[in-house]
Amino acid sequence: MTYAFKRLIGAVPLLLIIITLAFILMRSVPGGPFDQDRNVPPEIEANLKAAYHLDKPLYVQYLNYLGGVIRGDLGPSFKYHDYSVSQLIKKGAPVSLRIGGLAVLVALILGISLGAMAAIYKSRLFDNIVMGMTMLFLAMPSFVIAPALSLLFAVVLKWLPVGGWGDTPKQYFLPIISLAIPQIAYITRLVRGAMLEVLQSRYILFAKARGLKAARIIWVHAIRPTMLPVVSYLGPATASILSGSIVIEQIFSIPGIGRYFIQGGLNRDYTLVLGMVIFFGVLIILSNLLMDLIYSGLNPRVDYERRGGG
Amino acid sequence: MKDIPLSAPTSASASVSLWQLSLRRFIKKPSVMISIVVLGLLVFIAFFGVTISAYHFDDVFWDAITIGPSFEKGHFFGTDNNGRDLFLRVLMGARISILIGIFASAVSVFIGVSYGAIAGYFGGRVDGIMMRIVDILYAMPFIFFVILLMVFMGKSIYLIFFALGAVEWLTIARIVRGQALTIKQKDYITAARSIGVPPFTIIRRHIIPNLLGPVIVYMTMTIPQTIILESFLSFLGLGVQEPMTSLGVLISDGSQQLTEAPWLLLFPAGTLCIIVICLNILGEGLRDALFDQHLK
Repeated sequence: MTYAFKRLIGAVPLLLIIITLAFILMRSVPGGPFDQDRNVPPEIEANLKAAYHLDKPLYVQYLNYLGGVIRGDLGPSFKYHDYSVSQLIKKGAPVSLRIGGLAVLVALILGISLGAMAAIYKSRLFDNIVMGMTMLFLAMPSFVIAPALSLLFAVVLKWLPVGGWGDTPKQYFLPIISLAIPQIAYITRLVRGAMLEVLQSRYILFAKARGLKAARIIWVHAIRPTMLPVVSYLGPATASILSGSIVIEQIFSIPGIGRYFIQGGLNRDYTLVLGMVIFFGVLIILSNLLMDLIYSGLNPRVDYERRGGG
Repeated sequence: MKDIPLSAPTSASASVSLWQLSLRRFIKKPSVMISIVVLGLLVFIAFFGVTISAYHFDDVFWDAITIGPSFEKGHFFGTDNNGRDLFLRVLMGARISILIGIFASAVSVFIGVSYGAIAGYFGGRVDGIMMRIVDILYAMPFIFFVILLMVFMGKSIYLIFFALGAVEWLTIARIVRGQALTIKQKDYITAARSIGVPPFTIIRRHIIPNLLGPVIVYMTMTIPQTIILESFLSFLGLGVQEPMTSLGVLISDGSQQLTEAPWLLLFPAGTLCIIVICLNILGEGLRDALFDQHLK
């Protein structure tokens, strides 16, 4: 528990670096949020800037912003008038998180079972087919899979809707599968490799000598150490699913938060983009933290306490 | 390449170096051979096909706007809604994507190798601080920073090299640092140090050549990742800009006209997949050949 606490504290400076970097990056480039609008009289522009505190010195803006973040206030959006960034995120996040979460779940279930089976049937037909498929799908990023699946299942076969959200549960299928497929391929390979290694260890030999059933050996004894690389991969997987969701939401016109990121950037909506970076940053840091904790729980050989906070 | 002393040859006879041995093991695999041939062919067509073609990849065929693939009309992959020949555009896109993949990976390898070798060779506190920085950067949502960078800094192709290289160097730095830690304990390093060779010369002349193996393997595996990342940025409209094209741009265009002109998606997407698959197979083949892994 103290380890978890220490790690949580350790995440604070990281977050501060992320916020600061994003803030500097955004302010160091020419062009402000009101540049693209029609030419407005200077008084009005001054008023606009004052309303959003853009007239204050930069460090005051920065400190103000940090203070807001601590209170959970990410400021007003520059382009979506009448909305605060927190409201926009609150509106879109549940949709994005549901898709992302389900994609991770599907990837875990399919990846683990396929990987384990492939290891068991090593070099046989099943293994070769699975390995060939993973090779293919590793080469297909989400933004290729999504339109391809959409073409096949929505345009040609007409089984599933092309896009949209919230009308029928059928709309879940394509986005989730498109996000999950590259991860399934990766997890399958991880699990297969780890399982092959575990199956050669002595305690598995001992389990066989005791006459345990093969299914029990695999799914009770061998599976636990096999999970270790999978758990440590889940951190990067979360990050890649988050970035993938930006594209997926665009392709299937899903009202998640991914689209704010691109649109906010193109509109120079400072606060929106900053808010998104912070939100994604917190998500990724938290998921990494969670995975580390699960890892240490699964693997008694990892002793974080004595290593002084890892 | 100069004759590089890797480590004492173990099973090789006097005339065959360890590199040659690995090379033999590498090309003996049928999947590796096929990948080399396919990739070589693709690269050859992509680099020379566009040049010797009578048409420019941007030329408009007014009598053939959005037509499907047809051999009679000479448009093997069809044309897009501006009447541009997709075959030429895919070749051009493949060329750009491959170039970006190679150059950006080279940037990341350069940064990663220098960084990792310095951290590993000096060790101690320098190593601790440098690797802590890598740890911190690892935890950053980097792809979002790249997107930020592309959005705000304008969309030049050089910035793509830099941004992609800046993302991919972390893993290389870690691998290289680990290798450098082992290599620096070798006797020839002690010997070099004892005759007063300055540290950076040792790193350049003795450490880096000796960790070339893992670096080559990792670079082969980084190129496809970089190509995918570039396509991702281009897909979002943040990477390569019209009139220049890349596979990501073509895929993005194609996915918007899915119903009317599916070939606009299928050919660029297929080309991307073939390139990435071949490179992945080469990377894994190299890894197995150089490090003799039986497991995978």
